[in-house]
Amino acid sequence: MSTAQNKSVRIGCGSGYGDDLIELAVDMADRGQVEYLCMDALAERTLMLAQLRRVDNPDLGYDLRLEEVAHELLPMADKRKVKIVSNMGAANPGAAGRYLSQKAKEQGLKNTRVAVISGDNVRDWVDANNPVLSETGRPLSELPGRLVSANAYIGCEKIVEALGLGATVVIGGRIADPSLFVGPLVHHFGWSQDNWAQMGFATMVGHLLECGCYVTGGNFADPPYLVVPSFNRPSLPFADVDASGRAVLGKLPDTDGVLSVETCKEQLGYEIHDPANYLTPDVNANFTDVKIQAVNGGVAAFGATGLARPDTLKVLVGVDEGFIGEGQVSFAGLGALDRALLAQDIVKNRVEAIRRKGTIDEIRYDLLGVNGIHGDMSPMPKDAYEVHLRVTARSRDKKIAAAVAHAVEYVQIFGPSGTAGHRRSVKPQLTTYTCFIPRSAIKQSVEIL
Amino acid sequence: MSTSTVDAAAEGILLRQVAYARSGDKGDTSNVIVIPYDERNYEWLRQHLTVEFVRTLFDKVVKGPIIRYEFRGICGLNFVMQRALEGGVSRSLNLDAHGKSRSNLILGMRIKADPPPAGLRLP
Repeated sequence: MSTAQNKSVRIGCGSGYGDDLIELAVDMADRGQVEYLCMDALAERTLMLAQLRRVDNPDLGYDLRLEEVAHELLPMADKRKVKIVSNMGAANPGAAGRYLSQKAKEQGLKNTRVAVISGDNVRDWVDANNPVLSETGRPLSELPGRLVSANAYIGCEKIVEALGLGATVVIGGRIADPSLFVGPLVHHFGWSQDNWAQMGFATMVGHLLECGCYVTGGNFADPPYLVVPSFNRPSLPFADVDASGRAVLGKLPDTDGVLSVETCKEQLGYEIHDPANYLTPDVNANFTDVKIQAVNGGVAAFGATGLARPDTLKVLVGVDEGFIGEGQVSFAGLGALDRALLAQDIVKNRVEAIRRKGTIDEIRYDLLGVNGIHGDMSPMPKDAYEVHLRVTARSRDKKIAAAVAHAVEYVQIFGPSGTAGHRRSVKPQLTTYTCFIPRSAIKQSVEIL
Repeated sequence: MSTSTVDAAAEGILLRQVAYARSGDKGDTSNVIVIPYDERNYEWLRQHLTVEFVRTLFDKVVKGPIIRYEFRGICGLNFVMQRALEGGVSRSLNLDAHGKSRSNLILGMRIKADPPPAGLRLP
């Protein structure tokens, strides 16, 4: 394929997180006039969930939406000649690529060529090197839990290579969110991957688009201070990217939400620490002087720059830490808070008995509606009309986690009056830790299927 | 006019009247970016919304340091709080494991300042 150094290219977001609506990606491919559709599907939580699915079945562990992608999105992308770049391979990029390739053939999609990027799975290196974890400052082996997975955040390099080889669908695992956008921009403009200012700019574009609806009105409304007129029809964002270092963000016509200077400013700072040193696999980006301005037809962003990329890559290490048991009971009407507090005392007593049978690593008591989210920072009222007691406990022993959940449920049988509904669950706990791996220890590859 | 000035002097100005915010997570680190509606109030925010002041609110949940970074271009103050999310999203037992509502928490802070900034949004 050509790497035509056109002055401008339109690049769209096709997914902002692991459960985003595929119909929005289809809409973007159909009406967005985008050349590339970049789909972020991974976060710390979603990657761990995918790893758990692969533990259950070694043939799975890729994004749960892949069937819908194959049947709804691939035909539209094939028809409109839109290239897709995604980390929906999650814990199993090879299986994801084979699945999409097979479905493309079955549907006779003649323009579709699938490429798989591998190399983010660094479990063998972590197993062999027992790295020091950022969270504990101690070697991995000192944790009691069992190592389940290790994935390095990889950058745009192999995306650029795959697009250069003619791939129209590029799928990998833990490709860093902004790199999904950096890859197509570098390919399209023929940029050098060590032009750090350009890489910083491309990373800014990726950062503004990667969270999807968070820049088109999601996670924003706070009436009456911040108002979004309607949420009926969402749109993912796209950007017209100029090779000179300016991007204009937009959303699809006839959609709701809002794309404004304010939403773009919020997104620029989202999950960034030092704006002068935003480390990705591609660059040490600098967003300190990024400007956001309203322009005709959208919102412009420019002013990003960057320095050389880091020599090490961040690794997400998944460690099996047992199970979380959770129980919830609700109370309503006069004295609801007192009854919830009584229920909490009852559960605390039962938990003491459970502790004699096994170890609870952590337990938490929340009164939802009162202090369940901001904890001690919440003002304590005299009463509340509705209160929901939630108790969560982590234990390496599934039976202990289950016993705590059941102790909460049992309040409805032997506890205060009017227990208005209850629920309980026991889920496996895969905890994310982080370490760093030298670039030289990573072996990335591209396979065209 | 005079009534609201008296109120502001007594109780302080609600941060939500001056700025908006968004919070997110990376591991056990929480960040909250605070952005004034009117860029002319950036200096006022820089002066009053200090790390020490923010610490008074978050001290009960933030076990590590709080650092304030400046997004000069968009006039944003970014508070980065370490060991702030009870272990982080994969481990925290908090319903809001990402700490996404920390932005709403910070916007409830009241700043006592004389004179108050111009162009307050709503009471």
